[in-house]
Amino acid sequence: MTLTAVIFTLFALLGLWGALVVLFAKRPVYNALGLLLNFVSLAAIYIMLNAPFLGVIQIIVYSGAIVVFFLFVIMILNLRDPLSDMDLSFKGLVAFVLMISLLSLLGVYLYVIKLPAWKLGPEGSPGKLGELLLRDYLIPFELASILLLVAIVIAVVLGKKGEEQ
Amino acid sequence: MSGQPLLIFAAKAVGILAVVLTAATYATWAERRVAAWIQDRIGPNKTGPFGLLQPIADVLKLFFKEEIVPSPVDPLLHFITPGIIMTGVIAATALIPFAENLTLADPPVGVLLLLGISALSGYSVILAGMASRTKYSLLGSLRAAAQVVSYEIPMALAIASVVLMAGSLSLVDIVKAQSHLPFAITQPIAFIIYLIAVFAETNRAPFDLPEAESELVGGYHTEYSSMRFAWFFAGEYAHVVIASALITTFFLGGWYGPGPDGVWWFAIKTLFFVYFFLWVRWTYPRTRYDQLMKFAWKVLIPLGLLNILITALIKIWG
Amino acid sequence: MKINPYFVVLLMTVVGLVIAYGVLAISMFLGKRNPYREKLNPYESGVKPGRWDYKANIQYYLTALAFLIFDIEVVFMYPWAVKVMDLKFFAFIEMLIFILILLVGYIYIWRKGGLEWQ
Repeated sequence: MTLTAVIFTLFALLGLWGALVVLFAKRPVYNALGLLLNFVSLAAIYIMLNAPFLGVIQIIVYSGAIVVFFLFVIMILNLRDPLSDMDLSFKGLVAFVLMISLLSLLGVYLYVIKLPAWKLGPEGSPGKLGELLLRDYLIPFELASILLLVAIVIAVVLGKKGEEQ
Repeated sequence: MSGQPLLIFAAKAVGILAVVLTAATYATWAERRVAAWIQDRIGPNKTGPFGLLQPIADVLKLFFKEEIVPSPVDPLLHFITPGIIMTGVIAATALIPFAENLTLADPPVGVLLLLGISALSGYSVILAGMASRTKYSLLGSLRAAAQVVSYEIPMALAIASVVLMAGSLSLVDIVKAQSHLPFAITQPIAFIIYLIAVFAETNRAPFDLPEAESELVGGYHTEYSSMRFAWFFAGEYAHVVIASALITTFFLGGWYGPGPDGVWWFAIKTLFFVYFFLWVRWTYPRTRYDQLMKFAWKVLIPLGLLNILITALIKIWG
Repeated sequence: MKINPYFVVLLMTVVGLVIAYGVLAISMFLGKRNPYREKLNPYESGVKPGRWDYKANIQYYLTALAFLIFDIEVVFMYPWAVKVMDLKFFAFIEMLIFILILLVGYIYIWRKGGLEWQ
């Protein structure tokens, strides 16, 4: 194995570990930190796959902003006590079955279509990405701002509702 | 950097690391001397000439201090948290262009990588309160986290203007774009926004509310002692040194200067800003928290957005 | 030879981890320890800390969400900032529309008192 392959495997394992912590840790802080580990490992993998811009955005937005938001919520709600054990009710069982079938479907799909190994070219660089975003994907780019606008409105409405109670 | 033997590269890395860590250590000494000077006192002057050995004595003492891990804390988080800022600072030194051939790494997305490292360092203050699980720490953490997060936006907006001017996300390119005129002159608004945001990011006075002794006991590190406390403390000074180096890189033309260019210009500018940080702390009173937050959201962010649009217009026409 | 810059950053991060946590680990063994129950109490001016409950200001939640949204907005500006000189006015108008749409949201938060602290 080359050094690159070793580092890649290491990050893949770290990401997997993070995902498992999200699922099985008992205290909410550790769930959030597992998610953080998963996001950072994913960012490293993006960078190794020649998409450095996506990688650093992954760090800034997902690891830097989204997990911070989760931690804020944990702090505000003052979630000190461990979460309850796994949901073994009928609803939980249905969710579990659905999840397993979805995962196996995805596995079969990936096995059948055999994703072609494609190499990312200069699309991963910020300059090229800016060009694509501003010329070829103009409408989605502007729609993103509308999506963010909707998010702002929902945030304020929910926040204000919480204040009244 | 490209095209240099591995050994020279390793020597540079070790040298840079040693200089930055020494600078961070001596920033504590400088703080005490400057504070004393401003307040017309003497300051530490017994340990070695001018008290220069004081930081070494402090470090040695801290190593042998009793470590108290209070009963309500989460032991693992309590151990992890103090190291976060130090790790971030050391990782960031890899990206700083000290001189044309004294840059360890210059990736094409360097600026964003730096912002990412800075965002991850913010976890230090958030997790400190959550690790302690006591009210003063939690309140301090909540305050600190909201402050750090709010000032990250104006900071990123100011840097976006710089990127617009340089047309590149590489830190070396940004410095090279300032070979004639530093961005502090061509981008004065971005410069001022960045300078203010950096004070909030490093939790330095007048924005040192997270550790407001008079209101929050000690703030987010109330339950820390011994080396773990010292690491928060040292992290703050290391952060100040790195922040000064970044102001130099983004706005003062890095290694360029009147006369012969080189790493000494970088060092002089950085040291000036370290002094500036200390000077401001002992001159200005602490701001009120509501004013601090309103200032970020109602003044700095609109100003930053406006500055970017105007800069883009001038660039396109010019 | 050419060293991958991202590898250098990774290497420095590992060095940072070793230094930061190495020092913390060493100091764990160097200092003598004499813990007893009173010493391990959390800070509370000598009074026995009771059960505490606090109501966090909803403003913290709003700030965190506003930060999330503006952070994403700023991230969109970086590829634009690199490319704006090639696409000139076209790119400028696009970003103007992007910012104007978000400005509506910004004014909405402001008017609803989402930026106020008491």
